[in-house]
Amino acid sequence: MGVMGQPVRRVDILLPVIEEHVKPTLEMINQMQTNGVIGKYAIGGAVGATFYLEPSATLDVDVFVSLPSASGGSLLSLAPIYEYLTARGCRAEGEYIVIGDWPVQFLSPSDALEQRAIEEAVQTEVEGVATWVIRVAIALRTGRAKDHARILQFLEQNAVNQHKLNQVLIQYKLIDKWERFARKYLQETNE
Amino acid sequence: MSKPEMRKQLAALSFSEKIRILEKLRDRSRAIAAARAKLRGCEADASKSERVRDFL
Repeated sequence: MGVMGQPVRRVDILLPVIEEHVKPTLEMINQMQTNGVIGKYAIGGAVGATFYLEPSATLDVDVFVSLPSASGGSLLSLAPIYEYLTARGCRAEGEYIVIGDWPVQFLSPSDALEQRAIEEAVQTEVEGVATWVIRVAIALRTGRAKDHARILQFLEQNAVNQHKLNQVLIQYKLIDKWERFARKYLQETNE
Repeated sequence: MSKPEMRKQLAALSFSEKIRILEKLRDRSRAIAAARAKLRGCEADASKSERVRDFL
């Protein structure tokens, strides 16, 4: 039953579906890059994975960014990104900043692997807008359940360059993690 | 078409086409979440009015 004893009709709970496009979000990020606020960037997370896999539902965009270091210092700050974007009508929401209709989380590389992932990002385009997606699966290191699920999807769809993956695993000392992952998920799958 | 074949076919689409699907999936998820929230609100209102009725 609904308000004041009125039955809730199905039609009352159906809301209009408004399509919210990612293109204006990417255009704004590219403009920010052109203006020198950020250096190279690479889309990760579910949107980045969509480049290689079938599309999956997500609410946000994860963007790894190279940041120019503050005047001679070594400390990197995301503040210039927030200042640039809020001055252009975007609003901050927790760890996200909403650009167009999409919440975007900017992540500065925390180590050499993430830095390499940005440097080796693959150029692609969305509706004619150039953009870059992450090449190396950082998912293994973060080790969350949803990251493991994504690795399995990559493997199932042969979207992994095994030779390159092996090189990365060795170079960034991820062999133990990979073996643990393989024991837990791949052997069970193969049984 | 089998599920693995369909997944393969979807994965082979261009990034722009996949992003269009992803946008639709996101819109649908948000619409469902909003409808759930609205429904919960209706249920809360209903239980409130029932409580008032019981009190009276």
